[in-house]
Amino acid sequence: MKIQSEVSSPVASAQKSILHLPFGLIGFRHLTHFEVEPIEGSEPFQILRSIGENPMEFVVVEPVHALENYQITLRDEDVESLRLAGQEDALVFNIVVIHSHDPQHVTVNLVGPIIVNRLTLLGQQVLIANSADFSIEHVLVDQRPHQGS
Amino acid sequence: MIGDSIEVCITRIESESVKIGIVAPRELPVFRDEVYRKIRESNLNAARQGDAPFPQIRLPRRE
Repeated sequence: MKIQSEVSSPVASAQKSILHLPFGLIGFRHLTHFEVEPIEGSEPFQILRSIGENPMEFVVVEPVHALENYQITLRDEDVESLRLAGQEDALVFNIVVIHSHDPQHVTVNLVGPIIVNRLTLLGQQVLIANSADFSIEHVLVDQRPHQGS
Repeated sequence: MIGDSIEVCITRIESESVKIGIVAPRELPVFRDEVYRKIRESNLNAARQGDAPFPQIRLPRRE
């Protein structure tokens, strides 16, 4: 299934919708339930926060707000496990890494997005089928001084 | 065995090589090792403690 998400999620505006990721995140398989909250003053970035003791947070962004031409292809088994009837059912969140604040250096993982079925709020971090087209560390902001030309 | 649900089995032994198969429950996503490792590392770098102050990020304006 190809997805070029052009529609923003209602999840962000719905107060405290709970996303269920049965396999958690890669490296964090025990975190299975999350809420999403916008970061005031840093739109379009949002916080994906795990629910439970010792919550972990991940800065995420819906690619429609930050990127052009981010068209992803999902593997069949991921479309099946998420029960996506079509691309309009899919919400996409990409995880952001803040490497440094000052100077700001921020990248986003385009290869392993979190896909959520907007109808069921069931989600999973997937490896896209066209992973060769994109970077795990796609630069969103880089204010570091660069040497040379 | 890896964990409770993943089994590594040897499917073929030849003089110079051993073929290894992985038997995993259908519902458990299995990735190519290297990409999996990189995504895992990226997630670990991305993770913040629940009480960390919210970051301020400004996307450069597109002209």
